Amino acid sequence: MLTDELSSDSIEKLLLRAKSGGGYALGDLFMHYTNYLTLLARLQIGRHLQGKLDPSDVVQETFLKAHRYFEGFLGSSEGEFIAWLRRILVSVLADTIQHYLGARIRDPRLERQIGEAIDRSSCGMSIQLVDRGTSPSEVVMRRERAVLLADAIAQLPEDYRETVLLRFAEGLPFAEIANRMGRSVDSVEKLWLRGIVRLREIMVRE
Amino acid sequence: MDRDGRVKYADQKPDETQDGSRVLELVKEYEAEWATGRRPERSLLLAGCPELASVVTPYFDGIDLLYQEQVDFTRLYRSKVWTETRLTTGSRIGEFEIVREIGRGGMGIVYEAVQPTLNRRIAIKVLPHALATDENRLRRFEVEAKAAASVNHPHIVPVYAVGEESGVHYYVMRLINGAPVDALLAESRRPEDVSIRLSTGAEFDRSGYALPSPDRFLDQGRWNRLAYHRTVAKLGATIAEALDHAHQNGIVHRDIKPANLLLDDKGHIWVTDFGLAHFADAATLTVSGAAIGTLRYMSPEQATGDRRRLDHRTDIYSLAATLYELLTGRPVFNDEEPILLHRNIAQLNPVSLRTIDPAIPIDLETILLKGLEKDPRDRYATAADFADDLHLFLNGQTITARRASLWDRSRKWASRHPIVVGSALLLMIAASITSGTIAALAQRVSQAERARADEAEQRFDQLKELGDLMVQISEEALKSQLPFEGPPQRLLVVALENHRYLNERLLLVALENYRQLYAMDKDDSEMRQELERMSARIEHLLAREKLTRESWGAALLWIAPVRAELKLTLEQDVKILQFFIRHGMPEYVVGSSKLFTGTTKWPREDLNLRDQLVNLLIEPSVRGELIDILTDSQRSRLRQIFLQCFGPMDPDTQEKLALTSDQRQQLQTLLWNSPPPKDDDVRIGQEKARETGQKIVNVLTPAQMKVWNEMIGRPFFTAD
Repeated sequence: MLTDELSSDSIEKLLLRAKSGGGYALGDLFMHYTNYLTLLARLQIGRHLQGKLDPSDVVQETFLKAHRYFEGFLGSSEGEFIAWLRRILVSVLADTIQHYLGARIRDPRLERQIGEAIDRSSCGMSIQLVDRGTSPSEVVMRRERAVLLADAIAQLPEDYRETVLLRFAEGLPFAEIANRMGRSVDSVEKLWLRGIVRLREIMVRE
Repeated sequence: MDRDGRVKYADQKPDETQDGSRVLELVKEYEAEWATGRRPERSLLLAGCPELASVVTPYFDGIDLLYQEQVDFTRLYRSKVWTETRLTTGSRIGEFEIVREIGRGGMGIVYEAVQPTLNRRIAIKVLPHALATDENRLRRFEVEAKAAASVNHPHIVPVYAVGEESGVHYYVMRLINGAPVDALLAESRRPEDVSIRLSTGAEFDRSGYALPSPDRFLDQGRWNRLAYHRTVAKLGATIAEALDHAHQNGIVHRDIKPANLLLDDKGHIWVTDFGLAHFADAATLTVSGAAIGTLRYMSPEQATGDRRRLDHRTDIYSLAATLYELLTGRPVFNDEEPILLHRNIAQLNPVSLRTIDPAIPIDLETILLKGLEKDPRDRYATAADFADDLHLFLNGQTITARRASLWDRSRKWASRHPIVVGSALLLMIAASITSGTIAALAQRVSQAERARADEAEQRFDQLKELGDLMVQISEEALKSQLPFEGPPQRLLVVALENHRYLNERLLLVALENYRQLYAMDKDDSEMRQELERMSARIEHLLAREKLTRESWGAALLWIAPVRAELKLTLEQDVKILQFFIRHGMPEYVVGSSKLFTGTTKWPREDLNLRDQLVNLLIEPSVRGELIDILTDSQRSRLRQIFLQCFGPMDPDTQEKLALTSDQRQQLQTLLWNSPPPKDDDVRIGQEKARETGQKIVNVLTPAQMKVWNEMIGRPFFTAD
């Protein structure tokens, strides 16, 4: 995909260009995080609104907002940019989910919950900001790996991706995965094994 | 069912070989190891089948990619799903026969088992495999577990044996039929249909020390808070005594938490898991899902890793933290991020219990807060002392704990800042008063003021009486339910909590009353003395209020529309964000969509957050740090917005406006009687400013209005 052509260094150059007003650079930039954000969105939607919401819509909306508020982004590193995108994603998710659930069940805790869950799930910025022991470059490297991994997962054949995600991201037992996918336990176990090894191949290639 | 993918890749992968199922097992096992929070030891897994090494390596590598730290998407709160059961009904470990699994946690799985030789049922705890690979740890575990096994106390779960079989380490205990207290806590948080059950209200057991069964415990928690508070105190006293016994034997538990307290069906409380704390150290736990549950109860000295100070008093802290949660229904510190949790345990003062639930007896609160002191030296010296104080409380006697007096601090502050005599000022946030008492009082006072001179004497006496009465009412109420001596920073929360704190405001009106009396120049030195004394008693409230007000002035920067109004540069915005984060405001809130949507509502549940904010900014140096980010003109605009939101309630402003005392009272009445906050929010920001503005127009004269409009600048709210 796109990320493999880019080091975090060139991401930073793109950022710089986007900030100096290059609108197209921003669009380019967003492309690199589509898979990552889609994965995060999927994990959250899964919990709140199974099947009713399309993660890619949420991601689109996130990019729209990010575009609108890009002036407000002040960082210069990829790490900061990802954290910023993630915050917007949280707000979009909260709004969308709230919208679906209707004002009737308006829950002010929702946004916080999602924020917490995403922060936990992407395990990044919040720790980094208080933990001054970690050097910025280290943090960037780690975070970028999450993006790369999301990209790699996106490249898996559908069945593989599904099993790997249900197992890894949603923590389901194989029996449950089999149930959801309408397959035998035996076959999802094999799909899972192949998915893992395929993932590795993709990551190594890149 | 089969799709392309399956056929396409089917025949080129090693899992189709005869070793396929073995490979699958190995990879699953490898994954399960990761799920316990540690990088699996490949060589150990492959010890029995080295020939498979090359086959499984790509799979292991793939698993590593997914599970390596920092690429973790959700495992942190999911990991318990992953712990594969290793023992099933009928399987044997040592001489024990597994019956069923009865629970699992960060430190292993607990099974019910049978010991055929003694024909008894026992509980057996199997330690996680991943934790049992470290030689040093294991040795330490054995030593400690054996020491723990030697402790004999009616409230400590007896340890029968510690053993190991083919790499599986286990711990055999008496089987307790009951529920761990954390399960009860979780259960109690579940809403239940209130209409079906009614409080009995009368089951009050002043003498006996029996605890209720788990069911009754839950019932009490829901329906009979008075009895429940006592039950928790009894439970605490019992545990503290058990701990003291262990401490005297040189054994510190170090992992006291609700999950390690078991309440059996007969209402007997037990402490369990002595000697397992080494398996729960932070390094291991921060990466596993169970971590946060354990980290919450760790003491400040554990949180900071200060081993020198780590002694038996760590248990006192953790027990106090457990009782705190039982009483208030929420943990002392709520953070989900281990790092924030560590820091807050080490630095933040707990929210006082009665802020959360004013029905909690003040002595009980005092006892727990002493147990929760940051410095072990400020806690009870021994668990026995802790137990003793709980007994004194239960018997209605005077407890030995004294709260660190904020009174003293307030007095000190007050002596540095001359108190400005003015009207009662608590009204940072206009909260409603349903009874209209204040309005009535205010009216009486002003009527009295307008009375003729020849009635002065009688009027004075009446007012004095009225004031005395109010103080008396307030003090009674304070004794019974108000955190009167609570830290000043609680005051905001207090003010926000409207009705409940009516009495505190009454007190302030009384102060105003005394001041007016004083100003009447009564030539009676005895009376003047008494007035001075009475005023002094309440003045510290004003001091607290002023601190809170200043804190709020800065706290407005938290609100997105306010920041927008100030036209902050990007750099300033980031600095403010960083300021909040640096001072421990949770990043997810700082950075959440409030930044984008301009929400002016504050979830009412989030008292903690609000508290934290005011707590933070009440410190002048910290506040200065935030305010210094602003330019002079932004600062004065912030001040203007503040005035718009809260009205001319501070003495300086009132003086500038030359308000008559009649007007001051009208303002008080108006702002106090503003509509009650909605169920789920406390309005601040623009809405508040608009409302306040409208009310002020009704009170001020046109000339004053002109001065006021100059003071507040252009309207902050948008007319819509």
